[in-house]
Amino acid sequence: MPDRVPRLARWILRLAAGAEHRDALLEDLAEEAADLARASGPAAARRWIRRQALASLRPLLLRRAETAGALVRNASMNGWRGFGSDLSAASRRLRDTPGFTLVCVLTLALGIGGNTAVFTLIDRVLLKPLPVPRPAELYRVGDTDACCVNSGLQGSFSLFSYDLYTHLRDAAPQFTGLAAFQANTRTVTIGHADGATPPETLNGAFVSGNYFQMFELVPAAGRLIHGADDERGAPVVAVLSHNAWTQRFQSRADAVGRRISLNGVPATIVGVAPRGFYGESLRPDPPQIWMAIASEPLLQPAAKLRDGRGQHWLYAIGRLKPDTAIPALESQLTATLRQWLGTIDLSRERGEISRQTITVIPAAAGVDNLRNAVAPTLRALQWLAGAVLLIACANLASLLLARGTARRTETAVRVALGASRFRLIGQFLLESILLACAGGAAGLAVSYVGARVIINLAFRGATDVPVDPTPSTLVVLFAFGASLVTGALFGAAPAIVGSRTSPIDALRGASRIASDRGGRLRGSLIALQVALSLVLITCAGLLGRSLQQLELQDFGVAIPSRYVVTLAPSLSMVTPEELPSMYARMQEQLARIPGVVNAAFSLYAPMSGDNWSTRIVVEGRSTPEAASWNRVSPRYFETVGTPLLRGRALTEQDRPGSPLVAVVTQAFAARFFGTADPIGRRIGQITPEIEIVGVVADAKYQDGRRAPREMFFLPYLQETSTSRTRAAAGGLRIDRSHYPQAIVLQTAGPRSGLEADVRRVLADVDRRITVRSLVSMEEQVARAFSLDRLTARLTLAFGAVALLLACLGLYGVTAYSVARRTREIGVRMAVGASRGRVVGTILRSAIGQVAAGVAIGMPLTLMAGRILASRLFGVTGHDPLVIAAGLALLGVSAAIAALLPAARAATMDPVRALRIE
Amino acid sequence: MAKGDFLGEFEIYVMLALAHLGPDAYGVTIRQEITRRTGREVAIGAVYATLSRLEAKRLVRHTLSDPLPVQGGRTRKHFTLTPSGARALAHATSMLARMMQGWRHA
Repeated sequence: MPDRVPRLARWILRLAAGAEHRDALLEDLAEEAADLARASGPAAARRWIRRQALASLRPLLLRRAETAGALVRNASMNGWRGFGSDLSAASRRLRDTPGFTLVCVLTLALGIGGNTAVFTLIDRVLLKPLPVPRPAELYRVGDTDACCVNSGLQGSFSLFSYDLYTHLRDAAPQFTGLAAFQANTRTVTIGHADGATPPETLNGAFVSGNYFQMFELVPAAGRLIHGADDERGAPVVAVLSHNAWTQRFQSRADAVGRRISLNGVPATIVGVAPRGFYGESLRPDPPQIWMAIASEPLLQPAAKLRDGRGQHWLYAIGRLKPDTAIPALESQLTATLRQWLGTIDLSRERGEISRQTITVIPAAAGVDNLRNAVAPTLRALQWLAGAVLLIACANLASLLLARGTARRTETAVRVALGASRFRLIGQFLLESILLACAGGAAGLAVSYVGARVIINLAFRGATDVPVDPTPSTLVVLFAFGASLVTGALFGAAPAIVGSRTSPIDALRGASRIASDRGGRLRGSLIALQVALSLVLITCAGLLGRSLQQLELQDFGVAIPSRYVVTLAPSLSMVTPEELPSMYARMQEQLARIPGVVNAAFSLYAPMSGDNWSTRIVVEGRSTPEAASWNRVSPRYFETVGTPLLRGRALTEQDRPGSPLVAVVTQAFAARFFGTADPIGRRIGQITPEIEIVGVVADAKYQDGRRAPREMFFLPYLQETSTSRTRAAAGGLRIDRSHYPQAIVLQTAGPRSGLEADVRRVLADVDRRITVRSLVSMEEQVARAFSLDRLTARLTLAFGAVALLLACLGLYGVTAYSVARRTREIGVRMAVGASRGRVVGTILRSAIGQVAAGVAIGMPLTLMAGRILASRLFGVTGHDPLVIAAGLALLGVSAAIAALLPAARAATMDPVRALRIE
Repeated sequence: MAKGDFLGEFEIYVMLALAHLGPDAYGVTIRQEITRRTGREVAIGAVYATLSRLEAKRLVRHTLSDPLPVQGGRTRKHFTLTPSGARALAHATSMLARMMQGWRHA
């Protein structure tokens, strides 16, 4: 009867009337209109209804406003009580179906946890400024990461000698303070005055006297370094990091003021830096001890970097006064730089001075080496984690959809009893938000563990990483927001579909309902999950294969049964006269350690990431060129496992005073001599004074991804004219390149307890030799690819989760469709359908969903491969093998997920199936 | 009924209609009763808005009738005065009568 009321009028009245009497009102209106139509004709009835509808609008709306006002007034009583009962009903329903709840919470925990873990790291590594007051005022002079020590020109100057730093500082009054600090950390050997405690090594950095004052830091104990400590001739003082104070000095108050020795020089610990201060650069193993730049020549007599006017080794950061114009400051600093460059000896490079510049960049986060290194990885991971969350959401939505449909009878009964649609949707939503919050809480736990695992993977070998895996408030808010959005977004569709139930369904059995409104939505959600998991597993495959290629490549050295010992540079206390016999003893004693086959040493070890390069001149070529070089002991090549290709290796006979000789790599020979025989040709750093006696295979020392550098190797003790000149310039008796920093040991097989033996033997040879670390070559290689491994492993983990979720989703949807179609299957089998046919019917829709997923996923996969291509090594972004493997894995998993419920359908007893209500 | 809480004019009309109609009071008859007695066309929405307000004050309650004995017969919502509704109506009308004593309109 209400159908007689014209649609517009009905619509207006439905909108205006409150739920309580809406239906009665419309029926009454229709009843009277019918009477009127019989008496005066349909046109009069329609006119009357229109008048009634319009006249009813105002009183009805007024009444609604009244009730809404009363609701708000009584919210503290009735409203919240209603919400409270909805809430307890929702949590009761979730408790009643523990399996469903567990799957949902786990799904979300993985999705939200992965995202939160990556976001924690992004927050801690990429977004967090230095832990100092007003970090926004900090600016860095120079914009590149040109680590360590550099002589000559840099183009965009970022490293400065101490002399240049003082010039720049004095030329820029815009800085309230401009501090200088060492670009990298250096190992310092610290000796205790009591004599009982053995000397230990700490990571140290030299800083200018105003460093702590510029950062406006307050010491945790004692005092920090100040200007007077950085005067020439001032007593040597040191400030401990809070970590070093806690770990090495057990937070003892009497650590402050303690007399120690640093690299053998008497010094005093004057204070402890504030907790959480890790220096000006976020990096693994930050400085544990800070010393004034003035003490550098005393502590590093072989380097004496402070006194070399042309030795650039310092970075500079300062606090700018407000409203400083950066371009003006830059041109002012550039002018000072060029003027200063004019005063030093630059020989050939003089013409380049006008191209040298200084850039000033914001440095609220300090020097960003680590940021720059890990930012692309973290960003990529955030995308992957986002894809997993998307899959988790899709999965959750299809689970909730299936549940909503399964609960149709219940919903229908509630609608019949007068529950409003609004309240029903609210309750569905409440349930999914409750699930999402539980998932979010579990996700926070997952993220804490996850962030810790990521940090350990990313900074393998580091003992102290100043990145806190605890989620910050921002991260907790992020997780909570992600949960709420997930809950609302993916609870909404099932809620709407679920609430769209007509009360009449309550009277019929739910199992007889033929229509399945959520079916198509569920199908597309599965396709989406399949597509995304195909992308993720293919990416994981590509990255895994790339990592494998990286680790198993030919490094030009042998990896198994090789160990690398890194020495602290305290050897610089040894006089040049002592060196030959000491090296001979070292090599001899090390080779006597049981299980050690060969021992050799060098300036730096293969795959250590180090590289010394120099300009060289080649006999017969006019222009100087660049090449890398290393100093090595006798038997070095056989110890590291680099094959000798021609001529001879370096031996004990290549000593000081004998003719200067070098061994070059194959790539070096090819570049400078082409196909001609390099043996007997001469090279040198200033003049061609060194004769090439042998050619060895190429080996990787710095970057495992790049082709090996062109290298030449010099004997340990032979001084060249360059090394002599450099030593003389620094006021030294011998160049620091003659002090080895790496020992390579070849053992008969894997060997445990080697480190203790090596320390004992070296201490016997000379107490001044300090071992910094001992790692196997496998570990050295593994550390070089930490970030690659991190990305590969996390992608694999994300891919596995994605595949698992997609299969769970497919299983759930197929199982649900079997349950829903039980009667239909029973009928089919009763009239003679074979089991195969039944399985086929069930599988058809699953196959359709997977096929749709693959169709969407393939182009996405190829796109992802293109994006990944630059990070891959030895495998292309569209490697057919990897893609085929991904597809096969997906196919097999999907087949299992769909076959299980299909098989159950096929083994069903048709008689029982027909009886199912 | 709370002290000082006056019934509105239209509320009194609706309650009087309920009193007149007895068990026959539902949307249609209430509306027609008021229209018939006052001579003014009353909107069904106004009737239901007032009924809703009176129900909230517990002066009126409703019951659902049995379906009408015809094909697809509907269920009507019948309204009656509650005891406190009857008291409130008596009180309001007697107050009105007392207010009108000695007053004659021109």
